[in-house]
Amino acid sequence: MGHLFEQYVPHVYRFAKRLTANSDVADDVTQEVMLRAWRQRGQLREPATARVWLLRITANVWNDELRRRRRRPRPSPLSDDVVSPAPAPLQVSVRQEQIARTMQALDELPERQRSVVYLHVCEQLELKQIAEVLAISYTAAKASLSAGRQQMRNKLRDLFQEFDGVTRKHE
Amino acid sequence: MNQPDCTLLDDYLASELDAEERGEFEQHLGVCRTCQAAIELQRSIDRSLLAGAALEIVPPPVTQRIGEHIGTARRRQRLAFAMSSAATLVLVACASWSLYRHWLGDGALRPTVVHDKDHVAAVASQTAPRDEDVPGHEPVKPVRVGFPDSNSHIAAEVKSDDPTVSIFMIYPVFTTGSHEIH
Repeated sequence: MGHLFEQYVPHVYRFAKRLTANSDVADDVTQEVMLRAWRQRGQLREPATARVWLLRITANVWNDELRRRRRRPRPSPLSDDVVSPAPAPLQVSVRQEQIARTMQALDELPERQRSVVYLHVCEQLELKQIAEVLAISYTAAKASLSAGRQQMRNKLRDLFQEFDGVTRKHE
Repeated sequence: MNQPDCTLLDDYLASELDAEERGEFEQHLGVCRTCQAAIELQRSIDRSLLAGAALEIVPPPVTQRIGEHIGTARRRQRLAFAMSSAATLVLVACASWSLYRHWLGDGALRPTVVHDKDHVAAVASQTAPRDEDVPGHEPVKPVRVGFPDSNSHIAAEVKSDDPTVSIFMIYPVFTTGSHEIH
């Protein structure tokens, strides 16, 4: 595999995981993305844009997969490993639980909001790049980011206040 | 969040405000405890998201399988390239051999040149002065030129100073598909 693409496998895998909410499907999507990228490598004019290019291919591969699934629906549910909703408090630290619940809140967002929030926060993409990756308008990307973030704040406000209280009590 | 400026909170967080809007929002932020709390909460959420994403490690078999798939694709591509190169070479060799046979080989379809003795005699009797009478001149020898078919050659007449001599340049016609090369 080309070194240029190899370094972005984790980025592709994580985005695929967010899109699919399933480790096995994320594995398959990642493999397909890297294979498609290798075949279409001639289209990548500027290596500096490789990460955004690969993320765009990831979104395309997942959209293709969704279209295939709509034509041939599978009996089993798609999501099998969304972050566990209630980890035992004594088994994980406060911080770990906070992270797990945040990822769960992200995974519970509608697909477009989830992708936009993930790409903006975790991949640090600008709205213009996100619009390009997801093949949507800038306005749609901006609206999805705002709506997704607002939903996450509403869902996590109590939890973060509670954890902040716990953290302060232990400090 | 009922003041108009609170609606700019997410644009501010996404760095989507211009300098003037940003300045106005930061003034608002100085007095709005709701926005201050929302920004603090959002930054905590973003930190958790970053940490959560970083915890997701690509399973080693995935990386290994990607390498294998690309290796297979690379080998297939090389094989396809080698086969197409070989096919091109064979095609060029066949075409060259066929052209050689057609134009230069034993069975080449070249124009045939026949010395027409009767015509020579007829012309010679009407021609004065006779070429053999002029020292240093070879006698004029009319010839008959035959072509394999009407489309195989083009004959172009060249100006001659001698009225008893006609000069033609004969060009073969190569036909390749719908194109003709003269």
